[in-house]
Amino acid sequence: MSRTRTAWNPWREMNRLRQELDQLTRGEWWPNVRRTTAFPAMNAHESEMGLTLTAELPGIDASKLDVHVDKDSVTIAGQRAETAPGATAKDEQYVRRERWFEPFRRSVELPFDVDPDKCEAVYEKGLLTLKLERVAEQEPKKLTIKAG
Amino acid sequence: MNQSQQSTGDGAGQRPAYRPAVDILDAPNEMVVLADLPGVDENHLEITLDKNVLTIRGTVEPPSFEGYTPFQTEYGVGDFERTFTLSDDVSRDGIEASIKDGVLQLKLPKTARSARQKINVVAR
Repeated sequence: MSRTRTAWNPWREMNRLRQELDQLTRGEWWPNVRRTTAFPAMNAHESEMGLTLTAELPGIDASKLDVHVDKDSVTIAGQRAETAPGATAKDEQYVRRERWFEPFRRSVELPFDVDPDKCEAVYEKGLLTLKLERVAEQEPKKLTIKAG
Repeated sequence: MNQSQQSTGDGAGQRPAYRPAVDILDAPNEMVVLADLPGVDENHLEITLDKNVLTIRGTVEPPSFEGYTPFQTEYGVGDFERTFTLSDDVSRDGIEASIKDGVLQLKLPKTARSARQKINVVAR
């Protein structure tokens, strides 16, 4: 039996709502609501073995990204460079600006304990994927009580 | 660049196409478009110019999570599409496109007539 922190997962409800809204609005005139305003947007998938987190982080220098894994939380922090490589920044002016450039820091609480020494992080095509392993549950220790 | 149009997910049962965030910059000799397309590489990108409508379409192969159930989803995984109507200031030739780490960069040179010119003044 898996031990989770919260019995009711509100994200499942929101996910279902979002999917239903997507289906309703497909082909309609307003844009699909596809992400939260938090940056970076993250998805999490869980299994008996652990948790896989994916974050959308296009255009990041992976060496400057700060990823911390604790046994019950993950923190992602960093900032991405504003100028495109090879662009002459001084002469350019923004006509439209929708992308996020502020420094970001996001912490998410994990539904179960993971082993920080056994995690894997890959950054590819603008997606950061974190693979975390669940900590094996420990049996509660049985104490012998000495008679006084 | 005159305007950008919302393009909804086209039908035929395809995956929804989301509208990527873009920055558009105006430089003296060119326009630069930067689009966030996480999960897209150069083999999954289609950029077409039809008359004066530029369409960017990127496809994403959703990762397979065998044996996993979604716990939290803040973003939908799907394709990206966005269209732009180019003004006459933009030349139709010499458009360059490159993509790195999920960021598409489009350089659209301006026509000679529209590029910013410095006019030299001589004393008479």
